[in-house]
Amino acid sequence: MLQITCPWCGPRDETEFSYGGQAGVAYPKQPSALSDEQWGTFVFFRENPKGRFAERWVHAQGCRRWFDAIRDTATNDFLP
Amino acid sequence: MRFTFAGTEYEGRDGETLAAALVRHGVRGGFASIGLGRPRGVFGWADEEPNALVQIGPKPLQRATLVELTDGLVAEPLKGKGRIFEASDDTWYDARYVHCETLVIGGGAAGVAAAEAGGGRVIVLEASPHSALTSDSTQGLRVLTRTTAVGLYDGNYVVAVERDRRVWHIRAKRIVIATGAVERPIAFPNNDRPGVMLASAACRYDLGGARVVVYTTNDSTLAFPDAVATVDARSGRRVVDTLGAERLEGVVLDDGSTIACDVLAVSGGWNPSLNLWSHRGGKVQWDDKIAAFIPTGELDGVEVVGSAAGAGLPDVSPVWLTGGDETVTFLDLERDADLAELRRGIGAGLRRAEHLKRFTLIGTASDQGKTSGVIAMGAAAEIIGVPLADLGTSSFRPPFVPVSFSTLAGRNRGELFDPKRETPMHAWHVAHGAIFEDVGQ
Amino acid sequence: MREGHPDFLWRNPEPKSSYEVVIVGAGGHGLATAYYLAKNHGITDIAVIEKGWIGGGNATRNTTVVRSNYLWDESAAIYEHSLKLWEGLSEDLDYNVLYDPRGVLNLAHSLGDVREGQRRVNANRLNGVDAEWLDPDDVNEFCPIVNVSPDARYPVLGATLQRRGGIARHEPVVWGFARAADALGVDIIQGCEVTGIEVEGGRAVAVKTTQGRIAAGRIGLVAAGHSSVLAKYAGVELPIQSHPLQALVSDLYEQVLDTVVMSNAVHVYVSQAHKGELVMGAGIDAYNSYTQRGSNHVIEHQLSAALELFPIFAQARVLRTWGGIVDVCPDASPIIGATPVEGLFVNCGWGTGGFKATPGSGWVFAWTLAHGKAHTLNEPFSLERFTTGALIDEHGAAAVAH
Ligand SMILES: Cc1cc2nc3c(=O)[nH]c(=O)nc-3n(C[C@H](O)[C@H](O)[C@H](O)COP(=O)(O)OP(=O)(O)OC[C@H]3O[C@@H](n4cnc5c(N)ncnc54)[C@H](O)[C@@H]3O)c2cc1C
Ligand SMILES: [Zn+2]
Repeated sequence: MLQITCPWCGPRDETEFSYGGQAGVAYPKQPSALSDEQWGTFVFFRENPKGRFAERWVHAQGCRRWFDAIRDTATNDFLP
Repeated sequence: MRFTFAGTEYEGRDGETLAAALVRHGVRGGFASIGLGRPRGVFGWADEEPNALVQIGPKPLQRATLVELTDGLVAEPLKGKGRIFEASDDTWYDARYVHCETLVIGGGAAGVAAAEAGGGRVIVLEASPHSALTSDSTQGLRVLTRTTAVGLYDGNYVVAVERDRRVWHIRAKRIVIATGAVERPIAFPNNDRPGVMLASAACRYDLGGARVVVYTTNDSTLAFPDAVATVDARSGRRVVDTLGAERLEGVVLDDGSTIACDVLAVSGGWNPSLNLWSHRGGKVQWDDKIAAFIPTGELDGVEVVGSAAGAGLPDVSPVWLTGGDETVTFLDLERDADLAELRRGIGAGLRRAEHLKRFTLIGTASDQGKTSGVIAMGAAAEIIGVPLADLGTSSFRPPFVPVSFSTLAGRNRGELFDPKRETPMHAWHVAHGAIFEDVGQ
Repeated sequence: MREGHPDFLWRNPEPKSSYEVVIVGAGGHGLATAYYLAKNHGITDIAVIEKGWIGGGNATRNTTVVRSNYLWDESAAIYEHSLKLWEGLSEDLDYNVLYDPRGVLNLAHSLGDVREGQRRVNANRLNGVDAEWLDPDDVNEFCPIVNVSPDARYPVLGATLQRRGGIARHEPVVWGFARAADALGVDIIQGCEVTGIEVEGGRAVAVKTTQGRIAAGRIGLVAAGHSSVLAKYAGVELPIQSHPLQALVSDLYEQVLDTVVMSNAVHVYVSQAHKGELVMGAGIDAYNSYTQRGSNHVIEHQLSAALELFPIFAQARVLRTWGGIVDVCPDASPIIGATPVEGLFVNCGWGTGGFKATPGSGWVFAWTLAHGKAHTLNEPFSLERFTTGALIDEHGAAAVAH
C-alpha cells in the first residue's frame, strides 16, 4: 500500500487514488497532421523507466483532482 | 482443564501451549513426517516449530507450539498436510487502520527499550501473550499482544494479525524491528529422532525427570539446567548419530562412545529474524563471528535493533557437515529434506541458494525455513568449497506466519464483498415487474 | 515418466568474447529459444545471459496456468502451437514437466460474460481449439466446490471449459529447457547483467555486460518486465509498461480441487498443485514498478473474491505471497520479431500470461533468429502493428490473462 501525497489533501493511502500513467503527454495540436508512426507513438508508446518517473494520479476518493508526482519505480519511493 | 490429542485425553494448564503440555506429559513423538512418515516430536518453542502440526476442527496445520490450551480442545496430529472443509464459523473477522509515529515490532528487551525511547504515538506488537509493557493511552502507548507482524510493505506500512481474527494495518513514521533471533539446529544422522529439540525450547519446557544431553556450538547453552552431559563442538566433539526408534534413547559421539538420554538439546547458533526487513527489500550480510546473516544497508524509516540486528548474540563455531548417513541427516524437518538431496543438487550444477532451495524444497514449508535455511546454505557452501555468502541469499516473502483467508478477507464478504449498486429508480422498476439483466454491478 | 529432478542440470561456463547468437534473459522464453535454435536450426554457438539466476524472473513466479482458448485467429494459432508442444514436452526434454491437462474453467458472472464466453467457444472451435460451454449445473458437476448459488454476489451463469488446458510445474519446465540447451552446447551465463548494447551503423554488434563485452551476430532480448530498459540501450522504444503482478500459495492440504478455475469478474484464478498447495493469482498493481512486490490490499481483495467462489477455502491459510514484474502491452498480446535496429530482435509483452506460451514462444523466436525474419505464426505480432493499427486485442480473453 503506497502512501501518496495529494497536493491538496496531504498523504493518503494508495486505495484512494487511481493511476494515470506517464505525466506530461500532451494531446497533439493537429492530430490530422501526424504520420501514422507519430500517431501510433502518441497513442501506444509511454516511457517505462526503471528509476525516476513523472506520473499522474487522481485522488479519486478524495478531492478528485489530478496531479503529477515523481516516483522511483525501482524502489516505489516518491521523490521530491 | 482437559484436552485431547490423537484420541487421548490429557490434563492441561492455564496459559500452557499444546506443545508444552504434551512435552510435560512425556509425549516425545506423536507426529510423523510428510514424506517418509518418520516419527517426529515437538522440536521448537514458537513459530519455528517444524514437526508438531495439528488440525483443530476446521483449522488446518496449526503449530502446537502456538496453540494456547482451552478446555475441551481436540487436536489431531497431521502428517504435513491439513484438511479444509466447509464449516460454520461465527468468528467476527475484522480490520483496524491506525497510524503512529513509532511502531515497535517485538516486545522483548530491545523492543521495550525502543518503545520507551520512541516519541509520539507508539505501538508495540508482541506475538506471544505476554509483554513487559502495558498500554497507556495517556502516554500514547498501545501494546498489542498475541499480535504478529506478518508483512512490511512500501511506505512504512505494516500488516499485523491479532489472534487470527483481526488484521491491523499500521502506517508508521518510524519502524523498529526488534524481532529477536531464532535458534537453529545442527545437522547429523538421525537428528530428527523425537526428543531432539532446540536448546532454547528444551530449557523452557517442563521435561520432568528426562535425562538431557546438550550439543552446542556456542555459549548460549551455558546455563542449561541439569544436563547429564554437554557435547561442545568447539572442543572438536561431535554427535554423530542418535539411538532409539519411536523416541530418543541416546546419542553416539565421534569417538564411538554413547550417552543414554531422553532429550538432546541442540544449539547450532542463532539467526536474527530478518523476514520483515527482507519484505521491503532490506539486504543482509554474513557475519562470521556469530555465523549468521545480519542486516546491512538502509531502509528509509526502518531500524533493526537488539538480537535481530545481531547484537548480543554469542560467537558461534558452526558445524555444517558431520558425515555418516546423509539420507537421514535432515536439514528441513517439515519438508523431510535431507543432506543427500542437497548434495545431489550441487552435483547437478546448482550453485545458488535459490536453486538449491527449489531443488530440495528446503525452506519452502509453512515454517518458512526458520530452522532449515541457514544450515542448508552452510552445508552447501562447505560442499562446494566457497564462502557461504557466495551462494546469495534467498529473500523472505510475506506473511511471516501463515494467515487464514478468512482473516485477511475480513468483513469484505457476502454483501460487503462488492456492494451492489442500484439506480434511484430500482425500487420503481421492481414494483412494476421489470426483468433485469445481470451486468455485474 | 518419473518425477523429480535429474542428477545433472547444467554447466556454469565462463562467457566467451563472441557468439553467433546472444539471448538476454534466462527465463523460460529465453531458454526455450536457445534450445530450439540448437535443436531445430543447428545453431549452438549461443550464450544466454542472465543478470540473476536461471528462472529467477517471472518464469518461476507465475501460477502455471496453461491453455490456448484465445479469441483471435492469430492468438489461437500461436497459443495452440504452444499447447501442442506442451503435450510432448516431457518426452522431448526428458524431464517430467508435470503438464497436467486437468481442464481450465473460465466462469461467466453476467450476461456480458456469457455472450463473450460463448463467442469465444465458437471462435475456438472454428480454429480447432477444444472448447465447451457449460451451464451452471455442468459447472457444479465438473467442479463441485465452486459456489453456483444464484444468490451469490456474482452468480455463476456458465463457464467455458478447455479440457486440454491445465497446469505444469515451473522448475522442470525452465530447468528442462536450460538442461537441454546446455547439453546441446549453449552457454548459460548467470550473474551477468547486460548494461548496454553496442550499435554500429544501425546494427547491433555486441552487448556490454558486468562480465565484459560480448560480441554477437544476432541479439534476442527476452527480458519480460525489463524489456523496455534493455531495448532503450539500443535506442528502441517499446509500447510496454512494467507492473507488479502478485500471486500466493497456501500451505498443503488434501486434494479438494482437480481443475483450474478462473473468473475475470471477481478476479480469481486458482488451482491446487500436485503437492497440495492452493495456487492463486491476483490482479496487477495499477502503477508502473520494477520492484518485485505489490500491495497488500490487492491480496486481501483477492482472498475476499476467492471466498465468494469457494466457501471451502475459509480456513485455508496464505503461506507466501510474492510479485513479479510483467510487461504489459496495449493490446494484451506479445511482440515477437525484428526491431528498427538490424540484428536486434525482441520477444516480450507477454504480460500476465506468457508461461503457457513458453515452448511456442521459444520455438517461433528461434525460427525468427535463425532466419532473420518472422515465422508466419509470429508475423502478426510485430512491433509495426502499433503503427499500422493491426492490433490483436485479447483483453476479453485475457482480462485476467493467465
Ligand atoms: C505472479 C504471476 C503469475 C503469472 N501467472 C501466469 C499463468 O498462470 N499462466 C501464464 O501463462 N503466465 C503467467 N504469468 C506470466 C509469465 O510468468 C510470463 O509471461 C513469462 O514467464 C515471461 O517469460 P520468461 O519466462 O522468459 O520471463 P522471465 O522469467 O521474467 O525472464 C526474463 C529474464 O530476463 C532477465 N533480465 C532482465 N534484465 C536483464 C539484463 N539487463 N541482463 C540480463 N538479464 C536480464 C531477468 O532476470 C529474467 O530472468 C504470470 C506472471 C506473474 C508475475
Ligand atoms: Zn486530494
